[in-house]
Parts: sequence; C-alpha cells; structure tokens
Amino acid sequence: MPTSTVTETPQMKRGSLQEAIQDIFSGLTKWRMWSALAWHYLRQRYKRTWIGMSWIGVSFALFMIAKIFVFGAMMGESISYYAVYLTMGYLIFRLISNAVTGSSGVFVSSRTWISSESLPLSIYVFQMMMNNFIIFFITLVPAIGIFAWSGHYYLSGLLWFLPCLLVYAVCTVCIGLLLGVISARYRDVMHFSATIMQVAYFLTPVLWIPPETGPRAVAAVVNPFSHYIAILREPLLDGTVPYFSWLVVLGCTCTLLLLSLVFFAVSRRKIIFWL
Amino acid sequence: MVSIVAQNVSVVFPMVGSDVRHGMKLKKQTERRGTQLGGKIILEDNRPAGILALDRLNLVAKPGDRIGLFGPNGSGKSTALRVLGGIYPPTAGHIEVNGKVSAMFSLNLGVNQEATGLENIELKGILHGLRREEIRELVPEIVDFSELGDYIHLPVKTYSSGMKMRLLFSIASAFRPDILLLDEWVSTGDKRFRRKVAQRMETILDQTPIVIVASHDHRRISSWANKIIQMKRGHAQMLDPVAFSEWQAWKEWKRGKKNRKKKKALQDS
Repeated sequence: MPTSTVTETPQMKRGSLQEAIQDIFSGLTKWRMWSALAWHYLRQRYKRTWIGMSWIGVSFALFMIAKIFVFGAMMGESISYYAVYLTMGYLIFRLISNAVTGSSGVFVSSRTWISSESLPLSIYVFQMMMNNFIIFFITLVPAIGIFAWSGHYYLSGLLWFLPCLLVYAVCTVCIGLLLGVISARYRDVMHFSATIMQVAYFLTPVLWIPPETGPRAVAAVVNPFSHYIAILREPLLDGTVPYFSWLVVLGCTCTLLLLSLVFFAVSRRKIIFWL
Repeated sequence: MVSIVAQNVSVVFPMVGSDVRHGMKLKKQTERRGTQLGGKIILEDNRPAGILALDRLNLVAKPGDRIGLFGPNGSGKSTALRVLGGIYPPTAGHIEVNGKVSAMFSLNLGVNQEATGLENIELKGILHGLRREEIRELVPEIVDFSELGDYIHLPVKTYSSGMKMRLLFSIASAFRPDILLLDEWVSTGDKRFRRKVAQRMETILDQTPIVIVASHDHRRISSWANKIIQMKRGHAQMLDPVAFSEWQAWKEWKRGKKNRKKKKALQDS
C-alpha cells in the first residue's frame, strides 16, 4: 500500500460527454427499475385514501367542469369547442408544468437512493418522466369523457398522439437532466421554476383563445409552451397540422437536448456531493 | 472475476453553502498538529474549495479478501467505502469495480422512511435489479432473520435505530452480493442480535468473495480481516493483520494493568 507523505491538490477529473451518454443509455435500459420506482412513489402518495390514485382523475374532472362552466360562456366560442380546447390545453400544460417542477428536485428528492446504490443517475430522471406520464394517462380518462360529451373533435387528430407524446417524453427527460443538475447546486431554482410555471399558465393560451391582434396574440406566438400545446391540440380540435409550431417545437427540443447533455456531462460527477 | 482495483483514488467534497471565513478557519484548524478529525481543506484561487476526504487510496481486492477499514471518526473510512462501492465518483484517480455490490452505509440512507419494512425490501430488491418473484422468495428469509415479525408492515419511520439496523443488515446480506460493504454495522444492535450477526457473518464470509467493513472498533476487525487498512485524515495505510492484533492485545493488556493498579490503589486507601 504505497502512500506518499506529501499532500498536494489532486488533479481534478473533468466530466466527459461519453460517460454522460453512457449513463443515460444504461439508465434507459433499466426501465424495470424506474417504472417500479415511479409506481411505488405514486402509490405511496395515495396511501390510506379510499379511492387511491383515482383522486388524480377525479380532481382533474372536477377542475375541468368548473372551468368550462365559468370561462366557457365568456370566450365567444361554442361550449363544446371550448371544452375540448381547454381540456386538451390543460392536459398538455400540466404535463409540461409537472416536468419543470418535478425536474427541479429530481436528484435532491432521490438523495437516499443516490447515496446508497451505485446506479446511473439518469434512472431518477426517467422515474420522474414515468411518474408524469402515469398521471397524464390517468387524467386522459376523464378528458376522453369530456371529448365524447362535446363531440367536437377530429378522429384524425388521434394519429398525432404518438409523435407528440414522444416529443414530450424526450423534453421531460432533457428538462429533468438540465434542471435536476442546476437545482441540485443552486436551490433557488426549485422555487424559481415553480413560480415561473404559475406565471406561464396565464401567459399560455390554455384558458384563453388567442385573438388576431394585440399583446395576447404576441404572447401566444412568442411563448414556446403554446407551440408545444398546439402540435397536439390543433389536429384534434381543428383537423389541421400546425407546421410552424412543429418547427418551433423541434428547434426547442434540439436546443434542450444539447443543453441538457452539456450540463449533465459537466456536472454528473459532482451531483452526489451537492445533495 | 470479482475485483476492486483503486489507483490513486482521491475524493474532494466541494464546500457548497459554507462561506469563505468559516472555510479559512476550518483550514487552520485542520492544519494544527494533532488534529484527527476530517480531511485537509483544498484551496482554489485562495478560496476554500473542498475537503480532501480521501487522499490517493491504492487498493486491490480479490476474491477471498476480507478488508477492515479502521480509524477514528472523520478519517475517511466511510468515504473510502463509498468510493469502493461505486457511490462516490473519484475526484481524481481511477477505480474499477467488478461484481454485484450490496452495501449498508448508514441507517438513514437507502431506506424510504415513509414506506413499510416490506416495501423497503421490495424497493431495495428492485434497485438491485431483482425481479419481483425473486424478491418475493427472499422476503421470508429477510423478515425471519431480522426478527421484526409484523413490524415489517409498519413504516420504517416508526422503527428504532436497532430495528432499522436489523432490517438493513438482513436485506444487505440476503442479496448474495459479490462485494459486501458494511459501515459501523452492528453498533446499534442488542447483544442477542449481535451474536446472530456474528454467526451470519461467518456464512457471509464463506459465500461472499469480497467483504469490506469500516469500524472504529479494532476487536471486530482483527478477528477476521486478512487485510487491515488504517485510515488517518484521508490517508490509507496498510497494516499487517498479525502485527495489528498483537499491538491491540498489548494495548488491551496495558489498559488492564492500569485498571488493576487503580483498583489496587482504591483497595489500599
């Protein structure tokens, strides 16, 4: 056991992109692990309740009905159109908002496992994504009920579900890696992102239908969230494909992908010491 | 083949959230002579940047190795154990771990406090890559060994530290790992359970290729370890097990002699 007596600062190891990508892929292959973790934590949240996870669907349904009832009359569109518009918009917005707020604590909240099991860190990000998608699919049940009741939808829009959900999933993982890393180091980010999402809810055309001109029309175009919503809502609601929105969405997704890879690669080795 | 190879492995804990003044004070404290607690403070641009918790550890572990990490509090035992278990990425140096690792680091990490004992067995099993059926097969053995009985259906937050230790030790040893890492393992168990653990340790030692235990209690280490590493402020030093146990015996004898003298003095007065 040769140990020298002189102490000097050891040469720091830099993060590598290859290791980060390896981490992500080996995390992805451990799908059994992260889906089991996601189910476990979700079930735990509804422990000792009578109806369990149905609460997710019930609260969504009640919330939607109240909103359609209150805002539907003000929008100048038929109630059946607004019902689908709002439900679809809110469904997707919640997926995005859960991704952002869930991301900014994704490593911190899994501290107990990260510091006791030697596993790829990306598992916890995939777990968060899984958790969000389980919630999404549960809320889809009352949403389908609302669509059926209003009758205002294009069946061809269903075709867009798969590519859109894929985009959402990729974005969720990217945001998870990016915000997870940043918020592990700078804890303000957790509170900041929660606040931002609350503000974004009102600046995104979920509750309101964008007018032709005026500040709200600008907000609807400038805001990337509105394009993420449009790629699935418009085919379903109007039977059209928003090409411009797809362009924005793909651009944003690629940027996110690059940013998250860089951040994750640089800080992956330090995350555990920040928790 | 199951193995651990560590070459010049160092770990620096970044000092996040502590201010410069405290860091500099701490640096002075750790440089005082006779300090035993904690590693050296590392400066970067004249600001305290991190704590050198492990300083260039070199170690090769092969099947059949029973390694004892021995040293006072804050000497880097746990850090070394975690690096060897692949939890901490080394800040510098290179480490290669081949084999399935199972570990018991601390009573508060690696458990979900809100979940029941049974759910924690499941979670741990899942994270070790076991299938549900495999976990289900292990459950009776784990519950039986831990003697927790129906407490296994209560949330872990209701357990005493001794009960938590029972659960964690039972889980860690039930997964039949290639490499078992234990940190201050039986410190909170009662006498009866400690005896049971000692018995289980014998079977574990027979079945597990590599076992590494960190402890400040030399008696526990010298009885079975074939490699002893003494940790001192992040430095690791290999000790000869025979010499180590002889030295310990001598120390014990001396302590006994002192006590006998004291007793005699008391009786005389």
